Amino acid sequence: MKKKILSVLLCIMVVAGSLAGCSNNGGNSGNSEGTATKPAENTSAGSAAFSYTLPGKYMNWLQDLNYWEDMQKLSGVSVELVNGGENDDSYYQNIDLAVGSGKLTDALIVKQSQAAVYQAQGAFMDLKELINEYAPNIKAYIDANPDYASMITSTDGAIYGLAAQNPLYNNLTFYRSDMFEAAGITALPTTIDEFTDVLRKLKAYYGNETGYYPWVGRDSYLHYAENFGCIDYIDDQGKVHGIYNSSLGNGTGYDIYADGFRDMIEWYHTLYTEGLIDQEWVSGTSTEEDWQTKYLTGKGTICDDYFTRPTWFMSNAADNPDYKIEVMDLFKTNSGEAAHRYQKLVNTDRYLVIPEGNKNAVTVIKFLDWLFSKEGQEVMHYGIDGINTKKNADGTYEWIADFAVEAVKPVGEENIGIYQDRLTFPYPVDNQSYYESLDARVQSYCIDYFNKYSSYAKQIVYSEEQAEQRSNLMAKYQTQFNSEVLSFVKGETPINDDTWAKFLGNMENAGYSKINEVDQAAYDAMSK
Amino acid sequence: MDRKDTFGQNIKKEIKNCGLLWLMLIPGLLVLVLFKIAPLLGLAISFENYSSFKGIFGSEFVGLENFKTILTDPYTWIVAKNTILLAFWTLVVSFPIPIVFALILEEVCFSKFKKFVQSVSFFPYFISVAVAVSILSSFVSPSDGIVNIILVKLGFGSINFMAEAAWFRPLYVLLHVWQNFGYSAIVYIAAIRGIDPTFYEASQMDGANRWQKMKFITLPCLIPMMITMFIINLGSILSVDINKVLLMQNPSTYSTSDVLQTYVYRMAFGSTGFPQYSLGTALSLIQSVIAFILVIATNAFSKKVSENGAF
Repeated sequence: MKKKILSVLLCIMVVAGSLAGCSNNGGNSGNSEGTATKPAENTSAGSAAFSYTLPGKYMNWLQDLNYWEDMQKLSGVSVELVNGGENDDSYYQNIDLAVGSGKLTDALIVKQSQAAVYQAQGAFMDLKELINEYAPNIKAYIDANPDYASMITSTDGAIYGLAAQNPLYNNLTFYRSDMFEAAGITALPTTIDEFTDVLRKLKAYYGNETGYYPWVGRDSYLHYAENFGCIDYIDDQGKVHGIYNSSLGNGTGYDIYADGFRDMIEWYHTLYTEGLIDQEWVSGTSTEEDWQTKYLTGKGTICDDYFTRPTWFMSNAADNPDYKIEVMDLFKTNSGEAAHRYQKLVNTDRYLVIPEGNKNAVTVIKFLDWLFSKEGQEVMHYGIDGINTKKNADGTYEWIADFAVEAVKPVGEENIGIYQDRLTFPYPVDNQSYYESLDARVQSYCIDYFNKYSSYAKQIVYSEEQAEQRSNLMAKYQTQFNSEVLSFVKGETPINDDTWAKFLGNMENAGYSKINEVDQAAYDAMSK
Repeated sequence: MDRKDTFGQNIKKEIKNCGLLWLMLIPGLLVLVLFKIAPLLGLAISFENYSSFKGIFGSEFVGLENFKTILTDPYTWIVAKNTILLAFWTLVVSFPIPIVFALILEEVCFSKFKKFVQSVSFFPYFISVAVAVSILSSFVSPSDGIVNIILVKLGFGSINFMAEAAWFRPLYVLLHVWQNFGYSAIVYIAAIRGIDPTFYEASQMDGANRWQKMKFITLPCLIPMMITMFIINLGSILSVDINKVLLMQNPSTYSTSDVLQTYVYRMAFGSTGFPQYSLGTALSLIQSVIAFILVIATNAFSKKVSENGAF
């Protein structure tokens, strides 16, 4: 009998255990999935509070920001940060699940497409009324910046979110000046042809035996499209050229019908066959770590990459006293004209939205309005007076903290964070303060470089239908484009009139013109 | 009325006699219903323009639109061909290897060595796909991989295996075999050990050698298990390992490595668009229907030809 009772109890326990996972009480009530942090403990932040979901790494940045507590006190609002996922892909998928379950925090970061679609479906609030009533600073900014307004407003006039902005920066070309000197290169290249000659000289000097390539890099290898005149762009008449991607150099934004596009592919073929460019990188089998190792160990001399990377390499090669990196100017086009690089003003992956019917919506919008106010912008751009910067009598700021020291502090350690907080909340960007916050070495080359060669590109937002159509087309176009271009570059397909015509035909079949039409229609709709 | 009473009485009798057994079955049944059968209702989203916010019942019903999108897209057939070829070679190569391995291993007399080999062959199964691909990449690296070092020593040129479209399928299959053959062999080793020893004793008396015992006793006795395993494998023929493919894939290998799953993944979770869960579900449903038909047909064929089947 005892055995029987024991067996019955065991079965009940197993059933209960099986169902335990089905309970909906496992997460934070009222929050999306993730771990939450306490809002500012100091009650002087005021009784107003809201919860905010954002990707984990940005949450860490905010928590490490040395004026995060002060920000909350000054604004009078406490913010409970909620970790919505550690990497971007999982974060946005978690947001979809959270939207489905209805468990959303008072504010959250989403992609532009999620903001626009879910707002139209009724999941997120139209912020227009709230802004008109409670956010004079935001309203003034939107009214004064029609380009920004067009990026956050739907065709029926609803404001579906507030977008974070990017400072103006681009990739730039840097080189190991000590290796240039050793190879006897004294003049820096100013055109693609001169650049090719420099690569050949380096190759001749350093050889091929040790896996040396003059030009090494990461991610997409098709750089310098601006020098060949085959970059994607929107002309003054509003015509979209190429697959529009705001020319960020990630392998999608090219005008394949531009004369220079074939020249560019032929140039890359030359670089590949002569071993002037890292062949593993071009083939897509090289990782970021491989690139870093090559550049740190002298198996590469030139990179075209993120503008703070020279400092990173210099810091990591501190044990090599000869290791020196300098920056070269952006090459002119082969016809002698100045080239240009572009950046997106609005970060389409960072829209702050408020769920429909949220009781703390006014608190959220008031906090955001403070970020757009004079006081809020001063804090966001220069930190706290006396801690991050010293405000001079003439209104200028002097940085107290050293970027080079702050940038290498590990997660969990308090730092100035100016250069990171731009991804955490939407507020007006200020390039001057951004550049000034960087270390002296980066400042010495980047301010002049960006002033000369960088601009904000026109941006496009898509309707739900356009986004779906474009996404489907890009899924096959991008793969075929990468595959066929690489085949030319590696020499697997010879470049001649017949193969080029076939390539263009294949790109058409893959949807090139259809994508361009979607881009054009979306831009036209925004321009109305 | 009598019949109902009889049924009720039967239930009572069943509960009285086997109530505890039924109680023990409940957890398993619950898991089956909650986690295997109930989620099948989610397939409904393949007929909708699904939105997480609107849910299954609120999303717009689009009928067969998603299936039409997939089946009328010419690129679908390119990636379908890649998928089938990858699955075909995986099945053809990886299916017989565990059988041969089990047969050879069971012929080894030194039991400690036998156990050691079996354990070693089993280990790769527990290595994550990411680590396995990293190991493979290191082995075939064009600069310092052991394979290329040997090739160069033998007078051949170095090959960037991971960047050659023609090498994608062989490497994928090789990795699959390496990771799974030890684990798959367990089933056959167990089946071999379950063969009635009197068969071998009788053949011994008839003067059969080890080869003849393997050929005329072990192999025929393994056939039902082989058929069952073949049918199970066939059921997942269109389900290539997307994690492995994504880790091994690069622009150099797109022409052979782009498969249905990667294509739909890009469509469903494209970085610029809104997530399209419905398309992914529609493709999964198509794959499941094809796999189901294949399994049923193979089972029927097997029963007709050899009188053996999985069910």
